Amino acid sequence: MPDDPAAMIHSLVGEFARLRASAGQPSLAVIERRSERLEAAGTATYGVRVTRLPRSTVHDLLHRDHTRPPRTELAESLWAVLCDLAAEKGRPPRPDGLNLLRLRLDAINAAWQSRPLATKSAPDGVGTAFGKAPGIADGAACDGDEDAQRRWLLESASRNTENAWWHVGRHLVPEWLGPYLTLERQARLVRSYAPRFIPGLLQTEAYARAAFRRDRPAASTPELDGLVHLRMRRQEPLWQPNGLRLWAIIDEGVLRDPICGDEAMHRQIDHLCRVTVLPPVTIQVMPKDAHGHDSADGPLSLLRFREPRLPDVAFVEQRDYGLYPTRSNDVGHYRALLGRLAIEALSPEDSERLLRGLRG
Amino acid sequence: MGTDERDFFASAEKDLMAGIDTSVPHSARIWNYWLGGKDNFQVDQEAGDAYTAVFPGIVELARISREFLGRAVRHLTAEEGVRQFLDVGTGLPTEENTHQVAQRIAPDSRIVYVDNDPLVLVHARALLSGHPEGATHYVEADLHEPENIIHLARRHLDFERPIALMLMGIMGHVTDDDEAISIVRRLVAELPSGSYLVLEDGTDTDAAFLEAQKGYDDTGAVPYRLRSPAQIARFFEGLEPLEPGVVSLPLWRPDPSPQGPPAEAHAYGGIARKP
Repeated sequence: MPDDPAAMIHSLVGEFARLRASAGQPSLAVIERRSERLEAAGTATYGVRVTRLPRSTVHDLLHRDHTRPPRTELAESLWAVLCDLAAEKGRPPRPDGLNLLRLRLDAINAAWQSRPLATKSAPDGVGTAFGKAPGIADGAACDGDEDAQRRWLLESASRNTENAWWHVGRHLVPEWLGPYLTLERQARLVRSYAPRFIPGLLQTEAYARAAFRRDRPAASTPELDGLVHLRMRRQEPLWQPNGLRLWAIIDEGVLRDPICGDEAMHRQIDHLCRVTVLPPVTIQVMPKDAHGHDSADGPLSLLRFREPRLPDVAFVEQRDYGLYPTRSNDVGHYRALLGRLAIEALSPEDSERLLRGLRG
Repeated sequence: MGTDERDFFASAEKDLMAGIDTSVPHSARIWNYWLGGKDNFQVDQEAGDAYTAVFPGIVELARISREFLGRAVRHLTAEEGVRQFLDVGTGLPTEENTHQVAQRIAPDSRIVYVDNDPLVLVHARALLSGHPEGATHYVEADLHEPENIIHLARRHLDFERPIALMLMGIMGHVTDDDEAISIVRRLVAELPSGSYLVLEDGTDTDAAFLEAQKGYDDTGAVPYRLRSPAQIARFFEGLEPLEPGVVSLPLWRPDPSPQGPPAEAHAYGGIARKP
C-alpha cells in the first residue's frame, strides 16, 4: 500500500534488486569501485552526478528493510551506477528511468512527510503516492492553478471511496489503483499505452482472468472472480451513449502472447477486431521492430475529463504501485510520450489489418 | 541541475520526442491552447501567453475563425449541396471539426484532412472518426507542394464532382506573397467546375496583432505572415465570390443575434465558386 512509506521503500528496493540483476549481479565491492570511478570522472552518468557509495551504504540501500526514505542523492547515485554496469551487459537504461526514479522518490518523501505519527493506519485513505497537497482543503481549490486542481482531483478521488463504483470490491483494489478507477469513470477520453497486457477496458473475461492470475499468483478463485467482475464493470462506460472514448496503443508482442490459451486468445483478438471499428475505440499497434518500446517504462494512461477546466491526469503503472504525477510539466512529458508512441505505432487502419491477420 | 545533467535531459528528450519537438512552439498546438484544448506543451503555453500579453484579441479571433468554419461548412453542405471537402491545415481536433459539421447535415459527406505535422495527424486519425455513411481520410502533405496534396486527395475524392477546398488560417505559413498566390491557384486549377474555395486569414490591420506576431516569429517557430484585406481578396481572383464577398469574418453571413450585427475582427475571408 503506497500510503505506507515503508511499503513504497520496499518496492523501490525491489526495483534496485531487478536493476542489479540486469547488471549481472555485481558485488557490493564492484558497485563501490564503480561509484568511486564515476565520482572521480566528475561528469554526469545518465543525468546523475554520482556520489561515492561505500559498501555499507550500498548494502543498506539494497537490503535493509528501511524505515526512512533513502537519501535522494544516494538513491540516484546507486541507480546511475547500476545503469552504468548494466549498460556494459548491453542493457542501457530506458530514457525515462531517471524521471521515474525521481517521481518515485518524491512520492516516498511525500508519503513519509504525511505519515501518521502515532498510528500505523493510513490517514483517511489519502493516496499519498501523489503527495500531500498543502493548503488544498476543498473544492474551492478547483479554481486554482493547474497543478493545484490536479492535486485536488486526486485527493478527492482517493478520499471519497465509499461512493466509488468499485466500492463493492474494495478489498480487491489496491489503494494506489482506486483513484485511477474512480477518475477513469469521469473521463471523456482515455489514452493508454499497453506494453504488458491488452488494456483492461478491452479485455475479455478469459483474458482478464489470465492477466490477474499472472499478476497475483496467490489470488484465490473467489478473488479472481471478483477481480474479473470488477474489470467487466469497468468497461461499461465505453459502451454507453456519449460515454468514454479509448485511444490505446498496444505492443504487438502483447497480441502474440496467448496468456489465456490459444482459443481464448483468438476470442480476445476477435473482440479487438470488432471494437476497433466502433466509434469509441481507436487501437494502434506498436510493431515489434519499432523503437517506441524503449521510451515508456511500463503501462501509461492519460485521462481527459468532460469538464474542460479540469486538467489531464496521468497514471504511470508499475508492477506493484502507481504514480500520479501532479506537476504540469511531468504530465506534459507523458502526453508528449503518448504522442510520440502514436506517431511511431501503426495507423488505426494498418492496426486493424494486423489484428485481422492475427485472427486469421 | 548541472550543465551535464541538462545536456543529458535535452538530448534524451530530443531523442525521445522524435516527431514532436517540445522545445519550440508550434502553431497548431498554440491554436489548440487558445481554443481551450489540452494537446499542447509548456513551450506552446508560454508562447501563447506571450502573444496574448501583446494582443489579447487573439483568443477571441481563434474562436471567431472556428465559428466561420462552422458557418461556411454548414452553408456549403446545406445550401450549395457540396459533399466533398478538402481541408488543408487541419490543426489539432477541436469540438466542431469540418466533418462533424458537414456529416451532421449530410452524413454521406466525404472529408480529406491534410496536415504536415505528425502529431496533428495521429490526433486526427484517432479522434476524428467520421460517420460510417461518409468517409473521413487523413493525408500527410505540405502546403508548399500543392500537386502532392491533389495527388493524394484523388485517392479519396471524386474530382468529377464539386469539392470545397478549405484553407483556414494557414496561408500565412507561406510568407512569400507570389508563392502563396501560386499555391492557391495551382490547387484551385485541379478542382472541377462548380467547386469552392473557402479561405480566411488574420490581417495586418492591428498594430498589436502585428507586434505579437513578430514576437512569435522571433521564438524560432515557423514564421507567419499577416496580410492586408486586399491581399487576402487576391486569393479569390478569377472566382465568383458568394455574398457578401471577402469580408471581416464575423460579417460573413452572421447567425441572427439579438445583439445586432457583430463587430469586425482582424481576420478576413469568404467563399468563392469556381466557374
